[in-house]
Amino acid sequence: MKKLLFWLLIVVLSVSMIATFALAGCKTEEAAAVEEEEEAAAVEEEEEAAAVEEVKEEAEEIAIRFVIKTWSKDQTDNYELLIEKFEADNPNIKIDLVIIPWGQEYEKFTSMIISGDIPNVAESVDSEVGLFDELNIMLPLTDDQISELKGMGLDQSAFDVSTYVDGKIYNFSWLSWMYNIIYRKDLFQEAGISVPKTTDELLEAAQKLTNPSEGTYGFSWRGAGGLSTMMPIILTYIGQASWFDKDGNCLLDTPEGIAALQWYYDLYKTASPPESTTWGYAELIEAFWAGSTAMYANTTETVPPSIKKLGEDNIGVFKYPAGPSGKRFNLFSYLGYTRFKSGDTAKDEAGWKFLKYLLSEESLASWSGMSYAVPNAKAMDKIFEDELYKPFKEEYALIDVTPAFYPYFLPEWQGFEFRSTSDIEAMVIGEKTPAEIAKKWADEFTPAMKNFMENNTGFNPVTQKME
Amino acid sequence: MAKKKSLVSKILLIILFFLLILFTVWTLFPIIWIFITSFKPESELFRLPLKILPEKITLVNYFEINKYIPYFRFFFNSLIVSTSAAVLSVFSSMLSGYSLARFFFKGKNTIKFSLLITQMFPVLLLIVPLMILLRKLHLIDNLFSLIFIYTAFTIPFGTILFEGLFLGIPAEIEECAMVDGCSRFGALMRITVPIMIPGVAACFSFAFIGAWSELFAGIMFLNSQEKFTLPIGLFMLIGKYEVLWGALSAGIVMSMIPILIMFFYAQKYIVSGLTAGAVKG
Amino acid sequence: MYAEAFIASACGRVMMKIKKKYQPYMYFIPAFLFMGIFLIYPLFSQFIIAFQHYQPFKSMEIYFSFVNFKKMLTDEVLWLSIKNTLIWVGFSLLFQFPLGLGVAFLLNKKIKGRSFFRTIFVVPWAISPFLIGLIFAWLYHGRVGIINDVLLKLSLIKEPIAFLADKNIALASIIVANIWFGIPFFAVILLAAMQSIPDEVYEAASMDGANQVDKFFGITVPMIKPAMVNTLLLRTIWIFNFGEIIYVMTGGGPAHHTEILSTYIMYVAYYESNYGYAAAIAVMISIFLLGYSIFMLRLLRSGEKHG
Repeated sequence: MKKLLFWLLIVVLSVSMIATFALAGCKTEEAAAVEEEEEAAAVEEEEEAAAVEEVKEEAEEIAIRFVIKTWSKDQTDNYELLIEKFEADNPNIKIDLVIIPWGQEYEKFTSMIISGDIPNVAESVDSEVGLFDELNIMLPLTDDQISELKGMGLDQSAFDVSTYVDGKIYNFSWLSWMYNIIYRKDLFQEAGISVPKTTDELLEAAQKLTNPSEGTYGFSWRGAGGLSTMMPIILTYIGQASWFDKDGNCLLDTPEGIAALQWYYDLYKTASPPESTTWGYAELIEAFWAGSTAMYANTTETVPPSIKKLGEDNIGVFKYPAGPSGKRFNLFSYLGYTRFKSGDTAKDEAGWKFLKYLLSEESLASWSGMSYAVPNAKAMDKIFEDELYKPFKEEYALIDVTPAFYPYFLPEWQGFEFRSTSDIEAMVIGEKTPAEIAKKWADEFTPAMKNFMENNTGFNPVTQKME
Repeated sequence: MAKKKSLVSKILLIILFFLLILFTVWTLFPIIWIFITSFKPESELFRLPLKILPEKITLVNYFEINKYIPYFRFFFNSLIVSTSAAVLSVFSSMLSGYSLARFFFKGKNTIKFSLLITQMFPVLLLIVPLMILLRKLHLIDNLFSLIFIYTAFTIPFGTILFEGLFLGIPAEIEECAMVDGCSRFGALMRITVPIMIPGVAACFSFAFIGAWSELFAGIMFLNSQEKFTLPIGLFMLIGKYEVLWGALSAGIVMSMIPILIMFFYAQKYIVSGLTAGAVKG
Repeated sequence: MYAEAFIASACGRVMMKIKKKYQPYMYFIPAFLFMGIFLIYPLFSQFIIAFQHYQPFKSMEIYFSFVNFKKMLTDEVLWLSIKNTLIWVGFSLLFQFPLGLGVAFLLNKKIKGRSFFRTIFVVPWAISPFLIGLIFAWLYHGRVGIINDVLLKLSLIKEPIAFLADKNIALASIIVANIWFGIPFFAVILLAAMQSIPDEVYEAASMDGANQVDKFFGITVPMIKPAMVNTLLLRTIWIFNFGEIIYVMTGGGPAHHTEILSTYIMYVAYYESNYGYAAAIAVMISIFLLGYSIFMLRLLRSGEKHG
């Protein structure tokens, strides 16, 4: 019996190791195979080089790594399709797809970069440029490349938005996010409320819809955190799209800024579920679908699942209201593709080819069937011919709304969205006052901006561009 | 007197059974909800007022789970990783534990403490150095990396477990065998280990379960979807915009099956049934 | 001929001596192979980083300095985390251990269907911690969570309880989840230990007139003491660093009220980009736990001498 057990263990061990070996597709074996291919190809090349004038690199197999962060299965499948097509058209380039699951994408990608595991192309959010700019690992687009892209039917707004403060383009935007307020039309109708146009109206509407004994509330935030969903309100109180005045002082702790935080506090206290302080997106959307919260703020991509669940008639979208300044703002954020330095011109070239492919009209068009993308290929008008976005044309369009951006070129910005969560939570549970929080933030950002201005003369903190 | 005893023990038995039922309810309570949800169609999820029992029972979540993620591929990967790690872990721990229990040697305490120290450092910070190391070893995006890491992490506990259990078995057992001409290692394998079966089963379970349910190292060290393990797959069902509760609950229910099967057999071995009477005699 | 025989036997004896001297260490080879490469080496590199100013993404400078340790003295959140960690570990163990022991005791008895029960009890352990956090967060949910739903229906409360958002009860709510998760572990290990006790010992005690309580404290407990002590120590260390469930359920909030040291390390490393400080905190944790272990083992060893 014991002998049998012992041998069984040995067998299991060997089988598992063999199986894993086979499955894991031992990299060393693959690498060796690729090397062999390259050698063979190189030998052939040398013989033919005299006769044919071909670039030597093109006969070798080039492997480039493409990192994506999965946010849905549709997205992953579409990328795999696009990669297949690309590899078919370019047989000497192989794309090694690296998938990072949503929820840990920031943590994993930053760990990869720190450990030196730098890809060739990555799908990046806008703030990543600020994250990586000091590390000198990104490849900006050359002027030639920019003119090539311009000839591909991409919208001018994509170029404008993708230009970093130093005037170069590192992360080319192909998909933009705007934040709006999404509401339950049916609940609004029941309570006889119309779409609020000012912050006061919004507060009023939310309070009207709140009935704690029945468990219904007017407005829920994505937990107390979710700085992005608060930003348009703060900006409309401050009255401008930038956090800073012309001298680089952070405006968050001016009376206007504090008033914005106070408004947020009032809204939270009078119209949000008390337990939502630590809600994530999942809890929030469950409450929305269950009808216990009538409004929430988020990017427009969250709308289609709600429509799928509750029907078009019950879901509506409206823009952030105007505050005391009378101006409306919207936080603009985007997803794009960044290229990284590899030290190998062949790989950089291959990466550029792949980038062009991803930004081609046909590739971008492949996304429009999916509910989660507003591609930048077409001008804003054309986007709204899409069935999915037609109903919200007015709300999504940037008409009489000024787009605003985060100051992610400042090193202090890194991780601030996460850090601000605990500050906002402290305010909401009453441990700190809005004024204290505003001061804490200003104390961090004013010196940061002033420092940045010193090192980058000619930078205008109000327009956030070099002059 | 005999009558009294049997009544008392009968009552005791009933109380014990009742307590067991109580504990079972406590244990299964969170899972029951998941279990029931896995049989609900999409339309019934998160409707207020909350209904516990589904109106329509459906198996669609189970049959269609592959629509969302390659579930069975992930399942298979996890099976391989967990089994391999468990086997390696048991083997390494058993030897180390034996050494700690039977021998007196220099540096015994140092070794013991260094085993403990490895458990004291928060694992999160080891991610980046491990990434660098694994790249040098060409083990990134390779299931072996997880197997080795899981083995390394479960050895300290296994060692201490085996040490404790070996200490409970008198050294005379092996010495008897050695007098009869067996080598120490042979005595270990042929005589002590069979008595240790409960410990082997416990250590195997521990390592297997630890590997089976581990998530973060998997995310960090695997890049291609076809290599992902089951926890990563379930993690992926929590999308950016919606949690696919139907598929997720079905996935969780199915992920428990190997553990239950493995443990059902393991716990039979934990029932020793063997007496250590050999020593007394 | 004699010379050869003499040399051969001398070599043999030397070999035996070497074998004898190094034999204990040889048994450790597999363990050290795995642990040395995959655990000890990364640990070492982090130990070094603790003494460096290392803030990738924020600053390009890397230099040696004690700045990380100085920072610990003035960091309010760190002290809050320490307090939370002690509550976390203390209360989790307070329930996990006795309940685990009790369950093991029950499962040790010859009751009908105990195979079934034993298998069922391992369920909490089989689920990824992050999934457990998700499930419990959902059970605790104010709107669609079943706990609040039942309490409201039974009119025991008027409004849903903010299990995870109320700073006073958030940590307790998560500790409940941790207790649920941790009992099977103790139950299994202690059961295995109990199973190694031969039945004759109990029978002999019965014949001497011992009752259940006597048997438990007089036989069971002393005989599983080594396993109990080691498991308890190791489990303390693990719970200390076990931040996954908290991370999923509240992210350390609200306002750091459920932040324990290991989640704070995550916060500092990822969101403040201060890997040096994170490593320093980790080093501090290790030193504390090492001291704790030494103290505990000494204490119990002296207890053993009397027993």
